[in-house]
Amino acid sequence: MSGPLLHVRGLEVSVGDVPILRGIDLDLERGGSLALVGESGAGKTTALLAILQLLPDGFRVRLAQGERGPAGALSFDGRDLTRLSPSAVAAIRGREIGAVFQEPASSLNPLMRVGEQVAEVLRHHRSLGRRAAAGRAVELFGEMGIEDPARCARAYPHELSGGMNQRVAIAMATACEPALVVADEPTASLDVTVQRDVLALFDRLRREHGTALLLVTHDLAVAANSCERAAVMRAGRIVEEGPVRDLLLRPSNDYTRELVGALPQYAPPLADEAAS
Amino acid sequence: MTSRTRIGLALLLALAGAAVFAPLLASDLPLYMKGANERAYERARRTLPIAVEEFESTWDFAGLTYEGFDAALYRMEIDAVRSRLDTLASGLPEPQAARLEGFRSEFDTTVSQHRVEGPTLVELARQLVLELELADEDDENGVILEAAASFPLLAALRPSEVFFAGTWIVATVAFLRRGVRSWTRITRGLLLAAALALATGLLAGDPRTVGLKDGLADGSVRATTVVFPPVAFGYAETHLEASLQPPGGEHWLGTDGLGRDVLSRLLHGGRLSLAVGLLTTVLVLGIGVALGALAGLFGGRVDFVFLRVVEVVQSFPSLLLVLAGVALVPAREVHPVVTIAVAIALVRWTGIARLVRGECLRLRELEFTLAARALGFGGFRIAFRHLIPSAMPPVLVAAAFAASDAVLTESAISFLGLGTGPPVPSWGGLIAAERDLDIWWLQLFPGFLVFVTVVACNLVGEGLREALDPRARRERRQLHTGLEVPA
Repeated sequence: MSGPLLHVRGLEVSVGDVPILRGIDLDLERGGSLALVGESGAGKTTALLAILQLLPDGFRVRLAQGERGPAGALSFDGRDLTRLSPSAVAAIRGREIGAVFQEPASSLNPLMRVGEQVAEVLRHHRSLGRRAAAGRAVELFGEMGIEDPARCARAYPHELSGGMNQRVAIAMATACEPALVVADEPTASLDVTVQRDVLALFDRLRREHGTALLLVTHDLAVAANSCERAAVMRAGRIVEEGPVRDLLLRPSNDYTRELVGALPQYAPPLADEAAS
Repeated sequence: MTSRTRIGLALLLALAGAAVFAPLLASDLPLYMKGANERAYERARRTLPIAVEEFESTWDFAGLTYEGFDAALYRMEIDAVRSRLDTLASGLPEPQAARLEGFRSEFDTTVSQHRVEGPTLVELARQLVLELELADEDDENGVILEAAASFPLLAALRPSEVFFAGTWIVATVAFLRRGVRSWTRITRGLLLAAALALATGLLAGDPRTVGLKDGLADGSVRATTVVFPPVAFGYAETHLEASLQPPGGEHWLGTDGLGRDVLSRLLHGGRLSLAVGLLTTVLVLGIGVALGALAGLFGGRVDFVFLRVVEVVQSFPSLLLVLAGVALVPAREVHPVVTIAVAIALVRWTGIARLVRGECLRLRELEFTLAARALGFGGFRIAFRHLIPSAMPPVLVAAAFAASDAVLTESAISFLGLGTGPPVPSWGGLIAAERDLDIWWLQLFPGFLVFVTVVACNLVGEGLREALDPRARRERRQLHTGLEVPA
């Protein structure tokens, strides 16, 4: 199928009369990667949840109206997500779009062994048997670079470190080999070395399985390291979109310039390049 | 597990063990007996012709008409005849045993092939019982029964009693091993208990056990060996000549006004008290978790209706409601244990339901719920696999307190005279039986057992609460040191 994997045009979200997102346009190719960057409250997470159709009660999603019918679009793999039934969207979530959230510890069920949780995804979406799912879960843990995956699969989330839990969460999100992984600040609560490993994992998934990545982050360094393109958001709008290097080295928008300028000076490679 | 929880659980297991094994610990039936039961033999012999007559009257064999035929009654009459034949066969010497077997095959033929020729079964039965007359001083030619071994107490066990005994053993083993290692083994243990229970169901109902102790006393049961359980008194066995005896002597904990053994009545009464406690807790948990989860997960209008219902239920004086409910349902139709448990559960579910609702409201907003939805799980799966299990820990604490509350409430109802009636009242009823302080043993022992049960439940609840809430420990220390505890 041709056309972008994720195609968003004129996405608007409001709570009551208060607009949260105004006219969001995004495109993500198969196997591509896009970072949504911006300060807190810019609407990055809202945009991501709107794509997943998981906004809390009270949030209203609208597509911009043209002169003849809707001019906006929110489609994944050629399917209009706003027109699918809730159960059809639920079937896409987890199977074709995987999601990773910020706090790995709290996004896992504290009462289930992590192996079981991954197996549950496989059994639900792939109709695998109990044994087959458990075996595949251990394999996935191995692929995620978890040492001693069999032992780890029997652990509860509180027995694992944050980085381990995030790998488990990524294993869950990618268990069904989705075409797209959306990640909401997946590294914000991890220390830098673990951060690097987790980002490398997304990179590998992209290279080996062609999994596209939509990364929400406030950290420009993270965006620069793991994505080809970036969209800068501010107050519910996308102010600038383009290849991540151009955006960082030659920001055309005042706000982007401000964001880049706010990067700490000791971030060596980028700062050097910008100065030269 | 905190030491408190373990002490509480140990106490509860001990109490439950006493209740579960009460039929084996206190009974007027011997555990083992080798002897000749002439009493049962005579009763079976005298009533055999009547039973056969009743059997024949269910169906007109000569005319072979099915008019007014009642299949259930027919089967019942067949069983009545067969059980008498079994009783007669036990200890019967040759050649009478052969005669009995002859009649039995005659009877079986009639049942299976509708034999109509020859003398009627009633005539045969009358002839048989004359030949089977026992020997005595006047008639040396009669039958002399041989001693036969039997286990009267085991034969009188009910399938449910066997199953609960098995369950108790499984629970105790798990407790002693400090937790469940293998659920497969637990399941196997329970299946074994169920199988044994079914097997007992096939054996149950031995008519030879009726009045066995009286027979031993008056000589109509001649036994060479009798082994009684530790407390050799039935809960309804009266000894008017030994009424109101203080503890000590033959009756370890004394007797009541009718000369019934207090210890035996305590053991059997505890079955009712603990059954009410257990059943009520299960019902309260069921109602509370179901309604609380509905309200917490659906929210909105469902939640509104739920809260109003809770307010209405909570605004009634609950003991009065329970009393009214118990008084309305006739004990003949519903077992009083069930009535009391349902009545208590129907007014006491609100606490747990509110707790579950609150937990669900809280958990619904947590990230792992969002994560579960992002994985494409349906609402049903999320509710049952992820939310409700996470809401359970505080609910378990509340359930422990609900159990102690149920035991206390049941005691109050029974004390007021609306509980489980004769032949064996629960502990509360036993306290109420006599209100004379000179006969202290009738009130002290059941009262003490109620006290121990409630304390045990509360220990479990307290221990669980402490284990689940590390703040509790810190706050108490602050109270002791006089430091201010933030509100």
